[in-house]
Amino acid sequence: MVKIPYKMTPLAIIDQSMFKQLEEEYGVSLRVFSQALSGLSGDFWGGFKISKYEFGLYIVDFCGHGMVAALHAARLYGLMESCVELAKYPDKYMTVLNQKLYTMLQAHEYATMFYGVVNIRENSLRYTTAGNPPIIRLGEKGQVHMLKQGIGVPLGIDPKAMYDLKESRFLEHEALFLYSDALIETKNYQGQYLDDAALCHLFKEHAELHKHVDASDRFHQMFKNMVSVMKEHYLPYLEDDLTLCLLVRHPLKK
Amino acid sequence: MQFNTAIYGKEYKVYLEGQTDHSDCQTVVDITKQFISSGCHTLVFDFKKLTLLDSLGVSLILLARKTLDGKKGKLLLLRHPLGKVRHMFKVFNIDKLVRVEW
Repeated sequence: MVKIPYKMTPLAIIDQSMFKQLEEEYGVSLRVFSQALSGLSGDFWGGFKISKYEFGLYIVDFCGHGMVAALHAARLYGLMESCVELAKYPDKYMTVLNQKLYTMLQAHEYATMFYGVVNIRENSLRYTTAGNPPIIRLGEKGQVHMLKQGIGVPLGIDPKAMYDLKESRFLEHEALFLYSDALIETKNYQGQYLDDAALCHLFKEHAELHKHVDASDRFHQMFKNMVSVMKEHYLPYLEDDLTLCLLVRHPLKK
Repeated sequence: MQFNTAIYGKEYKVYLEGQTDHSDCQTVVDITKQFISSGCHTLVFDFKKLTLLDSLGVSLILLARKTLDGKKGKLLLLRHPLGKVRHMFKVFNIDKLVRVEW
Protein backbone atom coordinates (compact mmCIF):
# COMPACT_ATOMS: atom_id res chain seq x y z
CA MET A 1 0.00 0.00 0.00
CA VAL A 2 1.35 3.41 -0.95
CA LYS A 3 1.61 5.75 1.99
CA ILE A 4 0.69 9.28 0.98
CA PRO A 5 3.02 11.82 2.53
CA TYR A 6 1.43 14.56 4.56
CA LYS A 7 -0.26 17.18 2.41
CA MET A 8 0.74 15.63 -0.89
CA THR A 9 -1.66 14.53 -3.58
CA PRO A 10 -1.60 11.08 -5.19
CA LEU A 11 -1.11 12.85 -8.52
CA ALA A 12 2.08 14.37 -7.22
CA ILE A 13 3.41 10.93 -6.40
CA ILE A 14 2.68 9.68 -9.91
CA ASP A 15 4.37 12.73 -11.39
CA GLN A 16 7.42 12.34 -9.20
CA SER A 17 8.02 8.85 -10.51
CA MET A 18 7.64 10.09 -14.08
CA PHE A 19 10.17 12.79 -13.49
CA LYS A 20 12.83 10.25 -12.54
CA GLN A 21 12.51 8.90 -16.05
CA LEU A 22 12.79 12.38 -17.54
CA GLU A 23 15.85 13.17 -15.45
CA GLU A 24 17.63 10.12 -16.79
CA GLU A 25 16.62 10.46 -20.43
CA TYR A 26 16.72 14.21 -21.03
CA GLY A 27 19.39 15.51 -18.66
CA VAL A 28 17.12 17.60 -16.48
CA SER A 29 16.65 17.85 -12.74
CA LEU A 30 13.53 18.87 -10.92
CA ARG A 31 12.79 20.40 -7.55
CA VAL A 32 9.22 20.73 -6.34
CA PHE A 33 7.64 22.23 -3.28
CA SER A 34 3.92 21.75 -2.83
CA GLN A 35 1.66 22.67 0.03
CA ALA A 36 -2.02 21.83 0.03
CA LEU A 37 -4.21 24.16 2.00
CA SER A 38 -6.51 21.44 3.28
CA GLY A 39 -4.95 18.02 2.87
CA LEU A 40 -5.80 17.48 -0.79
CA SER A 41 -4.61 19.83 -3.49
CA GLY A 42 -6.09 21.03 -6.77
CA ASP A 43 -2.57 21.72 -8.02
CA PHE A 44 -0.60 19.15 -9.95
CA TRP A 45 2.41 19.17 -12.18
CA GLY A 46 4.43 16.72 -14.17
CA GLY A 47 6.08 15.69 -17.37
CA PHE A 48 6.10 12.84 -19.79
CA LYS A 49 8.11 11.45 -22.64
CA ILE A 50 7.06 12.41 -26.18
CA SER A 51 10.03 11.39 -28.30
CA LYS A 52 13.75 10.80 -27.98
CA TYR A 53 14.36 14.56 -27.84
CA GLU A 54 11.06 15.94 -26.56
CA PHE A 55 9.14 15.82 -23.34
CA GLY A 56 5.96 17.51 -22.15
CA LEU A 57 5.91 19.68 -19.04
CA TYR A 58 2.88 21.06 -17.23
CA ILE A 59 1.52 22.71 -14.13
CA VAL A 60 -2.19 22.89 -13.36
CA ASP A 61 -4.07 24.81 -10.69
CA PHE A 62 -7.76 24.08 -10.22
CA CYS A 63 -9.81 26.88 -8.72
CA GLY A 64 -10.57 26.41 -5.05
CA HIS A 65 -8.90 23.79 -2.89
CA GLY A 66 -9.62 20.62 -0.94
CA MET A 67 -11.55 17.56 -2.03
CA VAL A 68 -13.52 19.11 -4.91
CA ALA A 69 -10.47 20.71 -6.48
CA ALA A 70 -8.50 17.46 -6.06
CA LEU A 71 -11.25 15.41 -7.73
CA HIS A 72 -11.40 17.81 -10.64
CA ALA A 73 -7.62 17.66 -10.88
CA ALA A 74 -7.82 13.88 -11.14
CA ARG A 75 -10.41 14.18 -13.93
CA LEU A 76 -8.23 16.57 -15.88
CA TYR A 77 -5.29 14.25 -15.40
CA GLY A 78 -7.39 11.50 -16.95
CA LEU A 79 -8.30 13.74 -19.88
CA MET A 80 -4.65 14.55 -20.44
CA GLU A 81 -3.91 10.85 -20.70
CA SER A 82 -6.83 10.28 -23.05
CA CYS A 83 -5.60 12.70 -25.70
CA VAL A 84 -1.88 12.30 -25.23
CA GLU A 85 -1.45 11.73 -28.98
CA LEU A 86 -1.87 15.53 -29.35
CA ALA A 87 0.71 16.32 -26.68
CA LYS A 88 3.35 17.14 -29.28
CA TYR A 89 1.27 20.17 -30.28
CA PRO A 90 0.68 22.32 -27.19
CA ASP A 91 -1.97 24.59 -28.73
CA LYS A 92 -4.02 21.69 -30.10
CA TYR A 93 -3.60 19.70 -26.89
CA MET A 94 -4.85 22.61 -24.77
CA THR A 95 -7.76 23.30 -27.13
CA VAL A 96 -9.01 19.72 -26.85
CA LEU A 97 -8.48 19.58 -23.08
CA ASN A 98 -10.50 22.75 -22.73
CA GLN A 99 -13.36 21.41 -24.82
CA LYS A 100 -13.50 18.15 -22.88
CA LEU A 101 -13.18 19.79 -19.49
CA TYR A 102 -15.91 22.29 -20.30
CA THR A 103 -18.47 19.48 -20.43
CA MET A 104 -17.47 18.29 -16.94
CA LEU A 105 -17.46 21.51 -14.96
CA GLN A 106 -20.03 23.94 -13.66
CA ALA A 107 -20.03 27.52 -14.95
CA HIS A 108 -17.94 28.91 -12.10
CA GLU A 109 -15.28 26.18 -12.14
CA TYR A 110 -12.04 26.33 -14.10
CA ALA A 111 -8.37 25.41 -14.12
CA THR A 112 -5.32 27.39 -15.08
CA MET A 113 -2.62 25.48 -16.91
CA PHE A 114 0.77 25.83 -18.51
CA TYR A 115 1.79 23.17 -20.97
CA GLY A 116 5.03 23.10 -22.91
CA VAL A 117 7.16 20.77 -24.99
CA VAL A 118 10.88 20.92 -24.31
CA ASN A 119 13.07 19.90 -27.23
CA ILE A 120 16.61 19.22 -26.06
CA ARG A 121 18.00 18.91 -29.58
CA GLU A 122 16.59 22.25 -30.75
CA ASN A 123 17.04 23.88 -27.32
CA SER A 124 13.49 25.11 -27.50
CA LEU A 125 10.34 25.29 -25.47
CA ARG A 126 7.05 25.41 -27.40
CA TYR A 127 4.20 26.16 -25.07
CA THR A 128 0.72 27.45 -24.53
CA THR A 129 -0.93 29.10 -21.57
CA ALA A 130 -4.40 28.99 -20.03
CA GLY A 131 -4.49 31.74 -17.43
CA ASN A 132 -1.44 30.53 -15.51
CA PRO A 133 0.96 33.01 -13.92
CA PRO A 134 3.92 33.75 -16.23
CA ILE A 135 6.63 31.10 -16.30
CA ILE A 136 10.15 32.38 -15.62
CA ARG A 137 13.21 31.27 -17.59
CA LEU A 138 16.50 31.67 -15.76
CA GLY A 139 19.67 32.08 -17.80
CA GLU A 140 23.12 30.74 -17.09
CA LYS A 141 24.54 34.20 -16.43
CA GLY A 142 21.74 35.42 -14.20
CA GLN A 143 19.33 36.57 -16.91
CA VAL A 144 15.65 36.46 -15.93
CA HIS A 145 13.04 36.18 -18.68
CA MET A 146 9.34 36.12 -18.09
CA LEU A 147 7.80 33.97 -20.82
CA LYS A 148 5.19 35.70 -22.96
CA GLN A 149 1.63 34.87 -22.10
CA GLY A 150 -0.64 33.46 -24.78
CA ILE A 151 -4.20 34.47 -25.55
CA GLY A 152 -5.75 31.49 -23.75
CA VAL A 153 -8.29 31.80 -20.95
CA PRO A 154 -8.45 29.27 -18.09
CA LEU A 155 -9.71 25.81 -19.05
CA GLY A 156 -13.35 24.84 -18.73
CA ILE A 157 -14.96 28.27 -19.15
CA ASP A 158 -15.43 28.75 -22.88
CA PRO A 159 -15.66 25.75 -25.22
CA LYS A 160 -14.66 27.92 -28.18
CA ALA A 161 -11.59 29.41 -26.52
CA MET A 162 -8.45 29.62 -28.63
CA TYR A 163 -4.98 28.67 -27.43
CA ASP A 164 -1.99 29.96 -29.34
CA LEU A 165 1.47 28.50 -29.64
CA LYS A 166 4.42 30.38 -28.17
CA GLU A 167 8.09 29.56 -28.42
CA SER A 168 11.13 30.33 -26.35
CA ARG A 169 14.72 29.21 -26.34
CA PHE A 170 15.63 26.85 -23.52
CA LEU A 171 19.32 26.02 -23.38
CA GLU A 172 21.51 23.74 -21.34
CA HIS A 173 22.46 25.38 -18.01
CA GLU A 174 19.14 27.19 -17.96
CA ALA A 175 16.12 26.65 -15.74
CA LEU A 176 12.37 27.12 -15.79
CA PHE A 177 10.50 28.24 -12.72
CA LEU A 178 6.82 27.30 -12.65
CA TYR A 179 4.44 28.23 -9.85
CA SER A 180 0.81 28.47 -8.88
CA ASP A 181 -0.74 31.85 -8.22
CA ALA A 182 -0.72 31.38 -4.45
CA LEU A 183 2.93 32.44 -4.62
CA ILE A 184 1.98 35.97 -5.61
CA GLU A 185 -1.38 36.11 -3.82
CA THR A 186 -0.24 35.29 -0.31
CA LYS A 187 0.63 38.02 2.14
CA ASN A 188 3.61 37.71 4.47
CA TYR A 189 3.52 38.64 8.15
CA GLN A 190 3.93 42.30 7.19
CA GLY A 191 0.94 42.16 4.88
CA GLN A 192 3.12 42.35 1.76
CA TYR A 193 2.69 40.33 -1.43
CA LEU A 194 5.34 39.01 -3.76
CA ASP A 195 4.60 40.13 -7.28
CA ASP A 196 6.18 39.22 -10.62
CA ALA A 197 8.59 42.14 -10.49
CA ALA A 198 9.69 41.30 -6.94
CA LEU A 199 10.12 37.68 -7.96
CA CYS A 200 12.37 38.62 -10.89
CA HIS A 201 14.32 40.94 -8.63
CA LEU A 202 14.89 38.11 -6.15
CA PHE A 203 16.24 35.87 -8.91
CA LYS A 204 18.54 38.58 -10.27
CA GLU A 205 19.82 39.44 -6.82
CA HIS A 206 20.55 35.82 -6.03
CA ALA A 207 22.36 35.32 -9.35
CA GLU A 208 24.49 38.41 -8.75
CA LEU A 209 25.42 37.34 -5.25
CA HIS A 210 26.39 33.86 -6.43
CA LYS A 211 27.70 34.61 -9.89
CA HIS A 212 30.80 32.45 -9.47
CA VAL A 213 28.78 29.39 -8.58
CA ASP A 214 27.90 26.81 -11.24
CA ALA A 215 24.51 27.70 -12.74
CA SER A 216 22.80 24.43 -11.81
CA ASP A 217 23.97 24.64 -8.21
CA ARG A 218 22.91 28.26 -8.12
CA PHE A 219 19.40 27.48 -9.35
CA HIS A 220 18.97 24.71 -6.82
CA GLN A 221 20.27 26.88 -4.01
CA MET A 222 17.99 29.70 -5.07
CA PHE A 223 15.01 27.36 -5.05
CA LYS A 224 15.94 26.08 -1.61
CA ASN A 225 16.15 29.66 -0.33
CA MET A 226 12.81 30.53 -1.84
CA VAL A 227 11.15 27.54 -0.19
CA SER A 228 12.70 28.55 3.15
CA VAL A 229 11.38 32.10 2.78
CA MET A 230 7.92 30.80 1.87
CA LYS A 231 7.85 28.42 4.81
CA GLU A 232 8.98 31.05 7.24
CA HIS A 233 7.09 34.12 6.12
CA TYR A 234 4.17 33.13 3.90
CA LEU A 235 2.85 29.64 4.67
CA PRO A 236 1.11 30.64 7.91
CA TYR A 237 -1.00 33.00 5.81
CA LEU A 238 -1.61 30.67 2.87
CA GLU A 239 -5.18 30.72 1.52
CA ASP A 240 -4.75 28.52 -1.54
CA ASP A 241 -2.73 25.49 -2.63
CA LEU A 242 0.84 26.41 -3.43
CA THR A 243 3.17 24.72 -5.89
CA LEU A 244 6.67 25.74 -6.91
CA CYS A 245 8.63 23.79 -9.54
CA LEU A 246 12.12 24.25 -10.83
CA LEU A 247 13.34 22.39 -13.91
CA VAL A 248 17.06 22.68 -14.65
CA ARG A 249 18.67 21.59 -17.92
CA HIS A 250 22.08 19.95 -17.68
CA PRO A 251 24.45 19.08 -20.55
CA LEU A 252 23.59 15.68 -21.93
CA LYS A 253 26.07 12.95 -21.16
CA LYS A 254 27.80 11.82 -24.34
CA MET B 1 -17.17 40.44 0.32
CA GLN B 2 -19.30 43.54 0.46
CA PHE B 3 -21.60 44.30 -2.45
CA ASN B 4 -22.90 47.84 -2.56
CA THR B 5 -25.37 48.36 -5.37
CA ALA B 6 -26.62 51.53 -7.02
CA ILE B 7 -28.50 52.37 -10.21
CA TYR B 8 -27.19 55.15 -12.45
CA GLY B 9 -29.24 55.56 -15.59
CA LYS B 10 -29.05 52.27 -17.46
CA GLU B 11 -26.20 50.94 -15.35
CA TYR B 12 -26.75 48.62 -12.40
CA LYS B 13 -23.54 49.15 -10.45
CA VAL B 14 -22.06 46.80 -7.90
CA TYR B 15 -19.14 48.13 -5.88
CA LEU B 16 -17.02 45.28 -4.56
CA GLU B 17 -15.02 45.49 -1.37
CA GLY B 18 -13.25 43.14 1.06
CA GLN B 19 -12.49 39.44 0.79
CA THR B 20 -14.48 36.71 -0.90
CA ASP B 21 -16.54 34.20 1.01
CA HIS B 22 -18.44 31.13 -0.23
CA SER B 23 -21.77 32.76 0.62
CA ASP B 24 -20.92 35.36 -2.05
CA CYS B 25 -21.98 32.93 -4.80
CA GLN B 26 -25.64 33.16 -3.82
CA THR B 27 -25.34 36.93 -3.39
CA VAL B 28 -23.98 37.32 -6.93
CA VAL B 29 -26.76 35.17 -8.39
CA ASP B 30 -29.37 37.20 -6.48
CA ILE B 31 -27.87 40.51 -7.59
CA THR B 32 -27.69 39.35 -11.20
CA LYS B 33 -31.34 38.29 -11.12
CA GLN B 34 -32.32 41.66 -9.64
CA PHE B 35 -30.41 43.31 -12.48
CA ILE B 36 -32.21 41.16 -15.06
CA SER B 37 -35.59 42.22 -13.76
CA SER B 38 -34.53 45.86 -13.58
CA GLY B 39 -34.76 48.20 -16.56
CA CYS B 40 -30.97 48.52 -16.68
CA HIS B 41 -28.98 47.15 -19.60
CA THR B 42 -25.50 46.90 -18.06
CA LEU B 43 -24.44 45.14 -14.89
CA VAL B 44 -21.23 46.84 -13.79
CA PHE B 45 -18.87 45.23 -11.29
CA ASP B 46 -16.63 47.99 -9.99
CA PHE B 47 -13.31 46.72 -8.63
CA LYS B 48 -11.80 50.06 -7.63
CA LYS B 49 -11.80 49.25 -3.91
CA LEU B 50 -10.68 45.66 -4.27
CA THR B 51 -6.99 44.93 -3.67
CA LEU B 52 -7.00 41.21 -4.43
CA LEU B 53 -9.24 38.88 -6.39
CA ASP B 54 -8.77 35.21 -5.54
CA SER B 55 -10.01 32.23 -7.54
CA LEU B 56 -13.39 32.40 -5.84
CA GLY B 57 -13.65 36.01 -6.96
CA VAL B 58 -13.13 34.93 -10.56
CA SER B 59 -15.76 32.23 -10.06
CA LEU B 60 -18.20 34.96 -9.00
CA ILE B 61 -17.65 36.79 -12.28
CA LEU B 62 -18.21 33.53 -14.18
CA LEU B 63 -21.36 32.90 -12.21
CA ALA B 64 -22.77 36.31 -13.15
CA ARG B 65 -21.75 35.67 -16.77
CA LYS B 66 -23.58 32.34 -16.76
CA THR B 67 -26.69 33.80 -15.13
CA LEU B 68 -26.83 36.42 -17.89
CA ASP B 69 -26.33 33.85 -20.62
CA GLY B 70 -29.05 34.17 -23.24
CA LYS B 71 -30.57 37.32 -21.71
CA LYS B 72 -30.83 39.64 -24.69
CA GLY B 73 -29.91 43.28 -24.16
CA LYS B 74 -28.20 42.56 -20.84
CA LEU B 75 -24.47 43.12 -20.57
CA LEU B 76 -21.84 42.43 -17.95
CA LEU B 77 -19.03 44.95 -17.58
CA LEU B 78 -15.98 44.82 -15.30
CA ARG B 79 -14.70 48.26 -14.42
CA HIS B 80 -11.63 49.76 -12.70
CA PRO B 81 -9.48 46.72 -11.99
CA LEU B 82 -6.38 48.04 -10.24
CA GLY B 83 -3.11 46.59 -8.93
CA LYS B 84 -3.20 42.84 -8.39
CA VAL B 85 -6.78 42.58 -9.63
CA ARG B 86 -5.76 44.19 -12.92
CA HIS B 87 -2.78 41.85 -13.13
CA MET B 88 -5.00 38.85 -12.57
CA PHE B 89 -7.43 40.01 -15.27
CA LYS B 90 -4.52 40.30 -17.71
CA VAL B 91 -3.07 36.89 -16.87
CA PHE B 92 -6.50 35.29 -17.20
CA ASN B 93 -7.23 37.15 -20.45
CA ILE B 94 -10.57 37.82 -18.84
CA ASP B 95 -11.39 40.44 -21.45
CA LYS B 96 -11.82 37.56 -23.91
CA LEU B 97 -14.78 36.41 -21.80
CA VAL B 98 -16.31 39.58 -20.40
CA ARG B 99 -16.09 43.25 -21.41
CA VAL B 100 -13.56 45.14 -19.32
CA GLU B 101 -13.09 48.89 -18.92
CA TRP B 102 -9.47 49.16 -17.91
